[in-house]
Amino acid sequence: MAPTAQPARLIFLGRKPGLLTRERVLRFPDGLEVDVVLGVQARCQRVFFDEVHLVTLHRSKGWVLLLVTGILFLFAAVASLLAGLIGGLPVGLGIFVFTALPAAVFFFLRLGLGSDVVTVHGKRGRAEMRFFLKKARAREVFQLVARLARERQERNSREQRAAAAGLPPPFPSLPT
Amino acid sequence: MTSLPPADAVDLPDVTCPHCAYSVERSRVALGENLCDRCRRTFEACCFQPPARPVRVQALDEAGPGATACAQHHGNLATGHCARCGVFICAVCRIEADRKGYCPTCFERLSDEDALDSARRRYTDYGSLGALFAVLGLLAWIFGLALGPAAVHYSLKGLGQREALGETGTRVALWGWLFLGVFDFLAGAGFLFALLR
Repeated sequence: MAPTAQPARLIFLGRKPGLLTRERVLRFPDGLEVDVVLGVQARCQRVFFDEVHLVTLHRSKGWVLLLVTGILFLFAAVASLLAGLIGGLPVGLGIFVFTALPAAVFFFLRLGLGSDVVTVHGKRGRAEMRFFLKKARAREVFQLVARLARERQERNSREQRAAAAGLPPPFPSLPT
Repeated sequence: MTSLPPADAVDLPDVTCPHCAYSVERSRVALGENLCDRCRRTFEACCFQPPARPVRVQALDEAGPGATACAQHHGNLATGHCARCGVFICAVCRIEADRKGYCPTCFERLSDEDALDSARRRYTDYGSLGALFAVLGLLAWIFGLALGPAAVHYSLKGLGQREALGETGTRVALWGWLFLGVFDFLAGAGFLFALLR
């Protein structure tokens, strides 16, 4: 039996940023741990591989974020235009480059690339990870989780079948 | 010894489209790419049929002389004792956590106290605390002399926490907050120096 003092190794898989909370998904030997951080307090949820019933991968645009970035871009563009009219072209251009341009770049990148979302559905919980630029990583995580869940469930089935084969006839009563 | 029916029979819900939450029958979802009937968008899916976990118990009558009964289920043979309170427990009662077997009462108590690593439910994220102080120090750099060291302290504590939990992954953000804390301190000190001059 392994020593109990050693903490389980947690391997970081991905995160899901939110408006108020952010989630970090970590892998431990028996499943996934979802750390939901609200402020400075983190709450842990676990999705066990032997309870996983569905893993999905899809591409989402994230319309709320797109809308917010679009509005930011418009505000920054108007502000830089006004600054340019009042203070001259260099001032307006400077403000545009440092405020509106990053927002525009992010907006178009997000619109074009979207965000790959891996969702792992367990019996009692769910783990979700979003990957904006790392598309290959999203697929890798999707395949990894699906493989680990399949391996664990196949192993459980095998063990149960083996145990059932070596058992005497059924015992009727349930414990009270 | 026998297999009891699983406490919770495996009753799997339908698959929902991750885009529009439209419910799709599990049998119609194929491995790989699927098209949602409603929103006409694609998603990849991998469905599983998790096997129910049967619990095996041995009756006390079958075990022969010298066998001990479970403290909770008098008809069941005790397979061990609780690692905390020492009460005899059967296979039904035994809850394994951190590679030790506990009775349900002790498990409940220990997990409420967050004393079990594998059943840990909440903790203070020191990295976030470091970030909070670092950003506050940046916004109110007059107080940087106090907020900067606090940011550094909690960022270091956050790094230690990640290490203690055995987490892998990048720590760039934590180092960033640490350096921002140093910057806050220097800005605060510079401001104080300018005031005193």
